[in-house]
Amino acid sequence: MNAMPPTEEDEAITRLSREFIAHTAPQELPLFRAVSEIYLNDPARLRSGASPGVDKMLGFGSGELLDLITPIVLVVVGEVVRFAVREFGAALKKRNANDLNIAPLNLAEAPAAAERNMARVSAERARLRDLIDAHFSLSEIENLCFEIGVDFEGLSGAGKLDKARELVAYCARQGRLVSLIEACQRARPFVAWAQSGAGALTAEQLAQIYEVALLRARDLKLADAQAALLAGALMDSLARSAA
Amino acid sequence: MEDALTQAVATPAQDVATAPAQRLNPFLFPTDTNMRFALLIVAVLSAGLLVFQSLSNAASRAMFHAFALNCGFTKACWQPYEIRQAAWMALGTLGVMAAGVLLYWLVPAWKIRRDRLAPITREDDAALFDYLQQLAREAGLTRTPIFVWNPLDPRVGGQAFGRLGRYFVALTGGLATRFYNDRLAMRAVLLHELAHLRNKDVDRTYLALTITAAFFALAFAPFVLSLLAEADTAFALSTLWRGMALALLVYLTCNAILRAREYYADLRAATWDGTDANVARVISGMPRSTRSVWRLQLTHPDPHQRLAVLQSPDRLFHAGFWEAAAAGLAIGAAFANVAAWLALALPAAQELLAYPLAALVFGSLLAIMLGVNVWRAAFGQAQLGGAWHVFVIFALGAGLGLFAGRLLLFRSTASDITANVQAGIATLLILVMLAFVGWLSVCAAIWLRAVHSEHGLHVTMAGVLIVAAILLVALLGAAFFVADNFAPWMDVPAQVFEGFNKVMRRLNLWLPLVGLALVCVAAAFVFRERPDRLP
Repeated sequence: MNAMPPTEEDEAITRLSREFIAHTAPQELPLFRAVSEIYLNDPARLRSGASPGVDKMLGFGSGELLDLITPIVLVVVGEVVRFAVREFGAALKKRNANDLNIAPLNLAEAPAAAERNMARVSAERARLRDLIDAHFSLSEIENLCFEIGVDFEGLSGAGKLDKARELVAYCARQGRLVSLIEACQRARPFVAWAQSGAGALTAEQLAQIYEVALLRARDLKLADAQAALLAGALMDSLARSAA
Repeated sequence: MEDALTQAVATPAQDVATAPAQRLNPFLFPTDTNMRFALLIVAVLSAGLLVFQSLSNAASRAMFHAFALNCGFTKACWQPYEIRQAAWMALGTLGVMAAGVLLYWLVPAWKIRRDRLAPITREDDAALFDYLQQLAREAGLTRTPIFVWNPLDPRVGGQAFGRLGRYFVALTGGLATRFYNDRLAMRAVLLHELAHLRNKDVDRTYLALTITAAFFALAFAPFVLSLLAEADTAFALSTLWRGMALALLVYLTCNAILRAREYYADLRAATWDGTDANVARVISGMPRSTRSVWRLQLTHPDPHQRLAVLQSPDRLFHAGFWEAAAAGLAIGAAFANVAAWLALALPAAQELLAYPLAALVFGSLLAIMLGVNVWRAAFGQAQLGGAWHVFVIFALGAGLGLFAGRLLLFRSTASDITANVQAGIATLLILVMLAFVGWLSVCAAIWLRAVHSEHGLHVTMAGVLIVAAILLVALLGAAFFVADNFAPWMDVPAQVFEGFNKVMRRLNLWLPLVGLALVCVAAAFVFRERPDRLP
């Protein structure tokens, strides 16, 4: 099979993955080039995780099964980068329409940056709740729910504030906050619903990046601490890239 | 002699800094891997002849009845039928072997594809690549193998494979990560795999596996199916048990090859490494095997047993009952089957050549197999001391094996051969083996005192084995000829057995088999290896 030349996305994926492996599992560096080539040529092979190949009958070795993280990291980074380019590509290519500019991982600072970003997410969600409470009546909130396909009666609480809080929380859990903000924007165009803060990516977009990374890493059985570090580092890198 | 013929390797118990212990060099003699491979070929030969004779019968029943009507007992009249049958047997058996060789040739490419192995290049990791090349140079291989890997395989392991002139060493992804965090363990695994190449056992291993697979797929499966359709149940059962016994011998011999090679690779790797500690550490991490009764079907020796041999390779200098019994069984079966096949294939006037020809091949082979074992054991005894009764047990195993092998003939043995006659034949074969092994062990003990170098040892042993082969060709040919043609003369007087005689006559052929099985089980119990009880 003739491999396609790597795209800018591919290069960003391998670079970010390598940075993460060099920091967290340097013993896997000898594997990195070969595994990343497999990923670029046949990503399906990696999505199912690592697989034992050499038969037991004639081999020699302790037979111990290691948790190789390189394949998982490549898959997670790949999905996050592709997601980010698809969803917020313009922000990542702002210097030159053809250039994809993704900042290196800063793993030493990643936990603190992730904490800051998540605090920003919480604050922005609280602000969204308050804006909905301030600009919509209870029946208008019901209409909003209908528009974005949320069961209004299913939201707990009776008062307007309760319903607004539950609606924001529900949409956050379902990854549908962007739809909610867009619906709000259509209904009350004069209100500044999304706040881009320090970077070009909104807190909600950063939260989405974090959740995509974390969920996929956990799906692929990456240890919790490593999954959180990877998700936080990717969120931080993309936030800096778009800033 | 000790200095020249022993080698220095530190044992795991020792500190690497301390002086390594002197121990016997297991590579002075042909390895068990080679001997067992020869046994496997012989076993496949016997099994193939038996199986294809049965298939030939099933395929030409109408022709058989036509010949039976016209020819009666006239040998010359039967000849076209017999030649046709002999051709079936020979072509079938050769076909199995050829299919095995073809598979052996194709296995590396198939394995690379199945396990998704790719060559390790310098671009992957220059330090790792250079290290692998350096290990290959340390191993002193004339041709560097191709290092391949499946970087997604999370296990920690390696494997040497390939075919003549094109060998590979496969690494798992897990093993490659050891390059940075446990290089000594990685080195031990790779040296072990390179030792397989240096010991030249990769070809034998894969040939053993593919020939065994070809035998079961192309010969044994159709054989069993044809017997299921056989109307004569007694005939079917009589053929089936012999076919199954030979198939079991093929299977167990193949597994025995896979086990034997590991001991030698462990020892070679530890010698190169300068210490046993790293190889021992990897072995210690391997999963333990199940109950001892199932060890015969294992393709790897139990790690406990491997450690015991690694600590004390003197254990490879042991002449064991089972080794001799297996050799006797395979050679006995091959001798009987090939002699009977020659009798079919040769014209009536030359039929008597069947015994000398079979004796020439299989007598020589048995002499070499037993001879090497006896020389090795005598060498071990000369260095470490030991009891003479080992050789008696060894000869007993060979004699009983030969006797049992004779029963695995493709055509049914005559029903007038009673249990008493069988006992006489067994006694004759055991006596022949006692005389042969006794003579050989005395020769070895005398010559070993005069030998002072490895070259001298090999020359002397080769000379003695040539004489031993000539002797055994004559002894074995005569013993089988007498057993087959003058069996009634060996009938043991009835009064010897008194009360048992009636039962034995009733049980006819089955009693010797039951007795043989009991003897084997008892011998296995008494002489079984107990490495875990070694100091």
